Amino acid sequence: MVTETVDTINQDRSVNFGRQLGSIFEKASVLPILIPVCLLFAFLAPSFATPTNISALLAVAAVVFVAAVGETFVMLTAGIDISVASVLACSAIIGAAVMGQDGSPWVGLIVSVTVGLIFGAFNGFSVAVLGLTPFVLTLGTHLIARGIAFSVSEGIAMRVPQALRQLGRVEYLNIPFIAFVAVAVLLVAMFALRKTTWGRYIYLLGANKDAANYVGIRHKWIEGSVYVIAGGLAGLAGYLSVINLGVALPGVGDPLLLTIIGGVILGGTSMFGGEGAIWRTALGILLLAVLSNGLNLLGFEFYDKLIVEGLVILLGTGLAVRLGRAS
Amino acid sequence: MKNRFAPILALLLGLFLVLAACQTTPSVQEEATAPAAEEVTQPEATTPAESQEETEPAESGDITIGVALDALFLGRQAEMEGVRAVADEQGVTLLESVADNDPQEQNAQIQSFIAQDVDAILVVAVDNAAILTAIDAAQDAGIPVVTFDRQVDHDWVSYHSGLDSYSDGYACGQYVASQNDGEPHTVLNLLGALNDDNAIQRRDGYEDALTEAGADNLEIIQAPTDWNAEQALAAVENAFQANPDIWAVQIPSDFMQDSIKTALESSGVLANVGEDGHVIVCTIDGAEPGYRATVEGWTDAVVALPLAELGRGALENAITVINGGTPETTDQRFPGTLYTWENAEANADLIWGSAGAE
Repeated sequence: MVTETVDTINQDRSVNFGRQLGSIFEKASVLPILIPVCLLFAFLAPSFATPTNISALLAVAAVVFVAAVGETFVMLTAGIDISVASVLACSAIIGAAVMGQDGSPWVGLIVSVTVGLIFGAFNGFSVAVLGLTPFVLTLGTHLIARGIAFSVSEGIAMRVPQALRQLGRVEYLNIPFIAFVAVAVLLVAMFALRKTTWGRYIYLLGANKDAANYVGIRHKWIEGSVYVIAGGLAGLAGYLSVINLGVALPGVGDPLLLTIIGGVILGGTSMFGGEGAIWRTALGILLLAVLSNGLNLLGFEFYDKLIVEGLVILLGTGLAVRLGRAS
Repeated sequence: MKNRFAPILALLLGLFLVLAACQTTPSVQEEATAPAAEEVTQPEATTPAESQEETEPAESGDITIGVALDALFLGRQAEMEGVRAVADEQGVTLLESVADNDPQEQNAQIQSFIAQDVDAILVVAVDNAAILTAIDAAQDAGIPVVTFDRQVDHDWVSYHSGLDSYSDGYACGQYVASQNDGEPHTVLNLLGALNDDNAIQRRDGYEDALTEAGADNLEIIQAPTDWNAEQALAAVENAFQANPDIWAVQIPSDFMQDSIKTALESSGVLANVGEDGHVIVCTIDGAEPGYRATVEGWTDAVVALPLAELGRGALENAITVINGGTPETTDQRFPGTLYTWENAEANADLIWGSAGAE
């Protein structure tokens, strides 16, 4: 009798675990790809799971992730900000220009974030108040920010104080400094989305703008605020890129736009708004970073790497849609 | 939602811990160079040669070298032929990566080489400033760095093999000066990119050669191309609209040769050497388009760069450093050779791009 009861309890636990795992995979559709990919790379590339490599991987992912958090906020409202990568570069360049090689890194941080906030405020006002289409508007902002970045820097890398370059090499428990900043951004953003009224309104606005309007939500304020935050985070990401590279580059954002938006979508945040999460974006960005890193370690040619990355993104997106329907 | 997020984080954390635990014993160099926990990494005040003094010379067959390229194009492929030839001769294993002109990607690739504990890293930097932090990391790990084509100002770089771009531009300038008839003429000097030292050196060499030849009758105008073939096309067309009497055109890299031909044709000045209205054209690189244009005769001369030698020099000296030696020089330059429309075909074997024209 006792044995039967224990067996029943074990069976229940097993079923519950299976359901819980299924629920996790429904919400985090990247995991069924990320986990096997990590295991495969660890098996095939002996240096993949070394502290040195994981540290390098996290440093690359951190810059992209911080910018992607802002993009997630925007996409949750069913908007899009394609200026984020250029604002990142522009913020880095203007921050570096004001700092010079002898200035205070704090000044650089404040200037970079402020520049991002200004671009974000412009985007937010134009979308929320003037009612401009986010894609077209931010395409324009993208060109302006890119133009300013190249104009101020004259197309060349701008040197920054030595202290910032040193900061890029600071590690704690083999985790780079900028990864801690990214984790802090992750936690604050998750808190804001889940625990504040503002965060819940973002979901509601993205899911049904009319309903949000009907219940009296100040949707213009909410819609504008996500662009401001996306701009500010792009500015912070620009500053992190300066720490990571040791210089400010006018073209630093060029290759990042698709990774940022791709990471958000791959993570499972809907382009149509109302569904998604910051931690999902973290997984999406992590998958892209792991893929790039692992394929590098395996010695894939540049063009072969693109094909594999493209295939995995297709697979991930398909899986996200499939699991989304199932849930 | 809180309950769902926690298992995911736990799952990921567990995965990384398992992977790290399953990892084989770190290599001797990893143990020696990996910073202790809670330790802030700092550059060590040693030179690559000093670092290598304590190590035993490596057998060539045991050597693994990471090659971090900026991008893939004809010139870079030609340099890599030299690198691969030395690797084959000496049994060196090469790990190659291409950054597609993304400095962050290149830094990540160099970090991957460091994680793989390579014996040395060969670099063509996407950006010679943005690469510095990656070289700092190589220095921390005690891995020698050799650069080629694009020079990087970092104490840890043991050797650089580069082009002698000033000399290459100068050769073109001398050729144009030799054709000078003393009449007032306009010369169009196309610029590569102002943030590229090779482009600036080619421009300066070309103009210095004309100045030193006393060609006071030649007025030089410049037009930027930003190493972009479409921009070069527009620049030449605009220049001919503003100055229809342009007498000579200097092309900084012959990958834009076909664009220049189109521009000359649309401006009505495309003619072979010796024909009426011919514009003197000199180009640099020696790739297939430059070689073909010179053999066809609408381009007067091509400066063929010794790209394979440059690649050979980089790998040979990297092996020297790995084995505890010191390169004879830390900055070696390889000047190109000028071939004219009269002798280019006869010297096809010496022009690296000629193979593609066959």
